[in-house]
Parts: sequence; C-alpha cells; structure tokens
Amino acid sequence: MAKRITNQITRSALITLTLNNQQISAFEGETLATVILLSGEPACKLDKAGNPRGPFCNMGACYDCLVTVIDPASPDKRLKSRACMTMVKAGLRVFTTQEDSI
Amino acid sequence: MTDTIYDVAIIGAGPAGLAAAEQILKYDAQVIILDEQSRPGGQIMRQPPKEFKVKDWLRGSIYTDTKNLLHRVEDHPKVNWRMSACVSGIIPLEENGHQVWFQDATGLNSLRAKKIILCSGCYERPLAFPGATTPGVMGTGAIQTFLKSQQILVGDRFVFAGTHPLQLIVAEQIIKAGGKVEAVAFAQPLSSCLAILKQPRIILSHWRVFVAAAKSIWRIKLAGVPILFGCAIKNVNEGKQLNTVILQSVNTSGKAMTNRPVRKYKVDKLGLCYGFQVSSELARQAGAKSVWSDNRGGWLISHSEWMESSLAGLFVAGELTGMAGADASREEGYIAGIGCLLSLRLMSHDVAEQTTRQARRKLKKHNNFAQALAQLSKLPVHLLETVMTGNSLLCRCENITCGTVKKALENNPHSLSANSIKLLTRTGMGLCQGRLCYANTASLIAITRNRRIEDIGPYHAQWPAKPILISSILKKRQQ
Ligand code: FES
Repeated sequence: MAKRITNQITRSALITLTLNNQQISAFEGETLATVILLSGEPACKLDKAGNPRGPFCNMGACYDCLVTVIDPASPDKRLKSRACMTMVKAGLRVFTTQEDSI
Repeated sequence: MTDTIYDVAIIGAGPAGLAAAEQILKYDAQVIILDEQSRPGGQIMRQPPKEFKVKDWLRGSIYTDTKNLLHRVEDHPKVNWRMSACVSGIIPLEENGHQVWFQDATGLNSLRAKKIILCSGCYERPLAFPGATTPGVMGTGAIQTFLKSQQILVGDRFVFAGTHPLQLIVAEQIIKAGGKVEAVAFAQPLSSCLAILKQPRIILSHWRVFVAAAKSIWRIKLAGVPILFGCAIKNVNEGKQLNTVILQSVNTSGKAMTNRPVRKYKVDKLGLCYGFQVSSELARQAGAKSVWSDNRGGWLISHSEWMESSLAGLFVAGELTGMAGADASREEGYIAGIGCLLSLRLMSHDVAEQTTRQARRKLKKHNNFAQALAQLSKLPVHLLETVMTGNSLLCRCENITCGTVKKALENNPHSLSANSIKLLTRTGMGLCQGRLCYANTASLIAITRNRRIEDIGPYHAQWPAKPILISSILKKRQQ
C-alpha cells in the first residue's frame, strides 16, 4: 500500500473531500491519484471490458487514471478528469468506480 | 475574442524549454511558456507542489545544472506562464506566425505567437503482456515522479523489469525511501550493458553519470537485491490489483529459454522500464516532418542546425529530436532559443554562430553518450514476440488484444500501414490517442509483414492532440 514520506518534508494544510462518498483528508498540493493510492483503493476506473485500471504514467499520457469529479462550485456537473493531473480541493467529490464510457 | 500575440510561445517547461526561454528573455521579446504540469521543470525535475517544503530536493550533482536553470527561469519576472495548460493543437497562420490551442481550468483557449519552440518531451513505452493493465503495474518513471513530486512511496514491495538503466536509479530511490525491492531485471545480457565501458571517451565526458550509476548499483547490492540479466517480464496476475509477477529467462536475442524455471515474486508494484517514445504528435499535427528512429524514441522531428522544423517558425528542442536526456535537451533548447532570436532578427548571424559554438560542442558529446545509452538499452530483437502473446492487451484504451490485431493482419493481407490497422481494429483510437500502443502495434505489423517501421508509418496526428471536452469547443465558438 502507498504511504507518505515524512522525513524532511513539511506539508501544508489538511483539507477534506470525498472518495466514493467516504470522507477523506488530504494535504493541499496532493493529486487525486496520490489520494486514491493512499486510500488503498487500487483502481481509478473500469476499462471497456469492465476491468479495473490504476495510474500507469502519472504524467497525463495514458488516461488509465480517469475518475469522475463533482466540484462543489458546480454541483450538477460531473466531469471526467485525470486523477494524476488534478489537485485535491476542499469539498470535491471523487468517484473511481464509473465505467469509462467516453 | 482576439488572441494575444506573443513573439515566442514555448510549449513544455522542461530543460529544453527553460534553456530556450532564458536566451530569449535576454532580449526585448514577449515570451509565454505553456506546460501541462502545474509547475515548471519537466519530468526530470517534477517539482513538489508549492504547498510542500522538501529539504534537499533532488540531491546529486547530475541534477545541479538543470536545477539552477529551473530556478533562474522560474523566478524571472518577464516570463508569462500558462501552467496546467494542455496544448491540443498548433495551427500555422497564413500571415506570419502560429495559433496555439490549449485547454486549462477556464476552458479551451488560444493565443498567437510569431515563433513556437516545441519541447514536448517523451513518455514511457509499456510492453504488452498478459496482465499488463492490472492496477499496480506502472511505468518506472511514474513510480519515480510520485516519489520526487508527490513525496509518496506507491507500494510496499517492488519488482522492476526493463532494459533501461533508469530502473537502477529508481530502485535505489525506492530502497532509500523505505520500500522493499525484490529484483531489478534487465532483458538484455550483462555483456551488452558492459559494452558501454569499452568507450573511454564517453566515460570521460559523462563520468558523473557513471559514478551515479555505480553508486546506485552498489546500494542496491548492499540491500541484497538481485540485479538480473537475460530476464524479462512474462505475465502478472489479472484482477483487482497486482500481487504476483512472473519473470522469464530470455537468450541474447530475446527468445524465451523454456528450459529455465520462471521466477515468481509476490509484490504490489511492478515498474516497467522498456524505454521511451518521444512526444512528437503536436509537431506532426502542425505539419512538421519526422523520421523514424528505432532506438532514439520513434518518430523524431527533423530540424535545421538552428532547430527549426520543416515548418517555418516552428522550432523543436529536447527529446522530440531524439532521446538524449536532460543535459542534451538543455543545449538544444539554448540553440533553439538563439535560432529563434536569429529568425526574429533580434540577433545577427555572426553573434548567433559565436554564442552557440560551445553549446554545439557539448551537444555533440551528449549525443554520443545518448547513442551509447540507446545501444545499451535497446530491446533484444525477438523480445516483443516472446512477451506480446495473443491475449496481451495491445491497445489499452479500446481493449484490443495482440491476437485481434494478428487476426486482422491475416485477414487483410494488403493492409500495411499503422493507420489501416487502426481503422480495421480500433487500435490507437482511444483516449491516449495511440501514445501507449503505437510502438508495440507498429512493431507487431513490422514483424508480421517482415517490413521496416518506415513502411508502416505513424498514426495520423490530428487536432486535438489530447482529448478535449466538446462543451469547451462550443463555449469557445460562442466567444
Ligand atoms: S496515470 Fe496516466 S494519465 Fe494519469
């Protein structure tokens, strides 16, 4: 399981968001991919055959980390977003289980 | 809405883009730098988020020059930054210049620039094998960027498998961060790795890299981790997450040695390190000419001595001219910056020649080193046939197996190009737009048809170079 390195690192403020409707806390500056890996949730999305996928490239190229997010600023909009390229934000709702239907 | 017009737009804030920017900023020119990441530095210097304080970030003398460059440009007051901006297209304009389309948090945007310097870098080449998409299988570079930027260790137990020495560096960093590495496996024999030591000139010019590599090997050995040669990925478990990695012995040409027992590891992370592909889609989409290179990263963008591509006003620097690492990228960026000043008539030819003399000398040395490194880390000739068995997913986005593509090739004996196979099978049509599958697909066609990749051709590079939301296109049209 993933873990934060703590030696010689000062992180910033903790914020709260939800991952699959569960409240979790994260540090500002962390990406959704980081938060998902830390949560122990192995997958970000399901592929076209319904199999789980997790981050592969961590640089925005592979799209295996696609999650669904709902921003508190526009609560009726569901957006697909690359978890490795998206920063955590207070109140963000993140869903990993959505089938990749684009 | 009319676009803002810049003198130079630099796409990609890695070593090449930063070095180009630094030269142009010495003159009275309007520069904008765009990058998809939230902070400049490129993959080699993926910075921790602004909110973190990391003591001694990226220590080691091999990073010093590039880190200094980063700090000089990052703090420069005259740069316009557009970070977290994903460039989706470059459109040459009839009047002079180019239009750059990009998507950021505000939606789809565009700007104009008289000159473009494209420094779009590279990404990792995954191999296709059974189980390759099981969560927990990652690029070795990805494991490293989680460590150096996000400051997380992505797993408990690791195996690395590949051909590129980067995996030694990352394995050592993982051990240092408290991870357990079970093995680092190279597909090629030890002798092909040692061949580089027979080139004393390269050792002399790049001794710092050799010292860093030797230190990594020493520390890996000290931790009791086996470094294996002639050993490649066979398969991993399928399902919810990675728990078992199977490695197989291969001979010098990459064929499976079935008389040797396989090696089985219980791990939660596998780092793949079978080389890199240059990110040349944007340049090709704009219309720049490219040439194929087997071991320098695929379809490389051709350029003049001033780094100008075949498309006037579009300059290129860094990996997309051929994989060569951060030091070479820095020199190329420098030359591209000067070349740009020359074409903007902000610098005379004589001064430009003089200013770039040293950079060209250094670049030549870095390119010699890159050539030797490419030779060392190239895939054994038959490795793909050994690894990419019929049920391996070739196109990860559309879930197309190697078997499906082989069948399509059998049924359509006249199909040769990567594009025709794409149309027949949907391979390369998914969200990553063929970035991850191209090299494997093209190789599979080349092997089956007994032709060279030059005959297979690239996938068409089209706008948008990365997926964008239809709603953002509509919004842009209304403006
Ligand atoms: S992990 Fe590849 S796009 Fe996010």
